[in-house]
Amino acid sequence: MTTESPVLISLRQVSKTYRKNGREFHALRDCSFDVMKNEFLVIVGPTGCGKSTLLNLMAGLDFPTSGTILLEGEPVTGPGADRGVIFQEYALLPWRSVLKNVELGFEFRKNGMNQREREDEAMKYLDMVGLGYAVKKHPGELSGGMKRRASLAMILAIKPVILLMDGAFNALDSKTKMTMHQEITRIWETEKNTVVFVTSDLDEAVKLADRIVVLNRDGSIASVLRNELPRPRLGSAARDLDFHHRFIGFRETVMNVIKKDAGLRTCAIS
Amino acid sequence: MRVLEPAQSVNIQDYQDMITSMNGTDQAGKPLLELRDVSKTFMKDGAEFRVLEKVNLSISEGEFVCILGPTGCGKSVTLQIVAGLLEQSSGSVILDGKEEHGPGPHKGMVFQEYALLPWRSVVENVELGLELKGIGKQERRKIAEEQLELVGLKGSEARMVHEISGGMRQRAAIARALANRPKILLMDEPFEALDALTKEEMQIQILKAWEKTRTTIFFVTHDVDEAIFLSDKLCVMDINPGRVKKIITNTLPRPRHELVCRTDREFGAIRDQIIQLYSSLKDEDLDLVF
Repeated sequence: MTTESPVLISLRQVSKTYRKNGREFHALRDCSFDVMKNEFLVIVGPTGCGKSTLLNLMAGLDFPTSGTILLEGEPVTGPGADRGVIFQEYALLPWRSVLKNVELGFEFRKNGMNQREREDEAMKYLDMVGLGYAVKKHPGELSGGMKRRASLAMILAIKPVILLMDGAFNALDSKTKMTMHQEITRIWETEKNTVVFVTSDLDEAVKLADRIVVLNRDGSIASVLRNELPRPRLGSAARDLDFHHRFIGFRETVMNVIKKDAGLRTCAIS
Repeated sequence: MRVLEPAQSVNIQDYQDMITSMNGTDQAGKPLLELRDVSKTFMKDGAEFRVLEKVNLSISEGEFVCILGPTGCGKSVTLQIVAGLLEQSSGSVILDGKEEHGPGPHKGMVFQEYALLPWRSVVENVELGLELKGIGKQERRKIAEEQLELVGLKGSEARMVHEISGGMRQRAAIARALANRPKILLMDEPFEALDALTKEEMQIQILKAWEKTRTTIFFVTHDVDEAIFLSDKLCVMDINPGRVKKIITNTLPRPRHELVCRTDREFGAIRDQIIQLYSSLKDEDLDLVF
C-alpha cells in the first residue's frame, strides 16, 4: 500500500443519531477518515460502538444524520453494484444451485450475456473461491465455510469497486475461519479490490489489515493505526517467533486503545 | 453397562510415578479429579475412529487447569467425559476418590451457548438448580444474589435474558453454575463468541470469582493467551489421535488481572514454548489463536 493511492471513499464529520424510546442515541460521532484504493481497512471496536452502522452508511443502506460520505468524489445516495456487501448471514437463494446463485448478478444486468457466457463467468469466480467442485449443490447442502465462499463468489462476480464485509467470518469455526482468512487475502492480493472489513476479533484485524480504525464506545474514532507487519502473515509466517512477537505487540497496541476507552489497565508494549 | 477393570489394567504406583514425572513437581494436595488412561473411540462410516488416546491428567482441589489444543485434539470430548455427557471407551474418571458416571449438580457446566431460560429473569435462572434441590425461596434468592454479585451482575437480577448482552448472559450462566456449589466447574470455550474486550473482561471476572471461591476449574480453549492468562496448569493436546502432548506448570504471579500482562516476557516465554510444541503440525491443522 502506498500513500499516493487515490482516495476511494472519504468520510467527513459523519454522525448518526437514532431515536430510541423517545431518547436520542448517538451511534456515530464526528467520524472522519479515508479509505484508499486497494487498501484493506479493518474497523474494530467493542460491541455497540457503531462499527456496523459505519459500514451500512458506506454501503448506502442507511444515511448519516450529518456529515458527508463520498465514493470516488460522488456523494453516496443509496446502495449500488459498485459496493459488494457481505454480512454474517448468508444471502443465498435456497432454491437455486450455487452456480445459479452466482449468475444472479448477471441476470439483473441487461448487458446481453448469453447463458453460456454467464455460466463461464460464474465458474471463474467459483473457482477463485475454491468452490468449483460444488457448483451444482444447493445452499442447504453446504457447510458454513462453503456458504461463505459461495456468497463471496456471488459478490465478486458483480465486480464491485469495494467489498464491505461485516462480521463475515464470525459464525465460522476456527479452522474454517483460518482458511477464509487465507482465501480473502489471496483474492484481495490478486484481484486488487478494496476491502472494508468490520470485526470485533483483534487477531483477525491484525492478520488482515493495512490500517485499523478503532472506534470508542461512544461512536467516535479513537485512533487509526497503520499495520506495519509484513505480508504474508498467515500460515508458516505466523510461526516465526520474531514475526510473532511483533504481531502480539501490535495486537496489544490496538487492545490498549480499546482498553483505555473502557477505563481498563493497559499493557506496556516493548 | 460398561465393565470397569481399573485394578487389572493399571498399576497405581506406576501411574502415580508417571503423573509426578509429567507434572515435573509433586502434587500440592490430593487430586480432586483424575483421568486415568481415558480413551474414546467413535464409529464413523463403519470404521473405528480414535478421538482420544490414553489421557492422564490430575487436577488438585482449587486448581485452575486449562486444556488447550487445535480442532480435533479431543479437548471438548475430554471435558464431556468428565461432565458425564459422554462415556469413555476405556480408562476411568475419578472425582473426589469416586469413579464418576453421568452428570450431576456437583459438576457445574458453562458452555459457549448460555442455555439460560428466556422466560425466567436473571436471578430466577441462577436459582434454577437450587429450586430443583428443594431449597426454600428466601435462601435460594439469597444465594443467587450473592453469586450474581460475585460475577458483577448486581443490579441486573430482575432483567430478562433477552434484555442483557452476551457477556452478561455468560456471567449469569457462571453464577448459575456456582450457585450449586459444585466440586468442579467445567467450562467449554465459554468466551469464544464474545468480542475481544468483553472476552478480556470475562477472563478477569472468572479470575476474580475463582480467587474468592477457589472452586476447581477445568477450562477448555483454543486461545493460547487465554489459557496462559487463566491457568495454574496447561494441558497441551496433540491431534491424530487426540492425546496429551505436554503438561506445563504455569507459575505466573497472581492475582493475574493485577500483576500480569500479555506483553510480559514471562508470558511470551510460555507462548513461545507452546508454538514450538506444535512445530511439527501442518499449518492448516494449527487453528489455535495465539
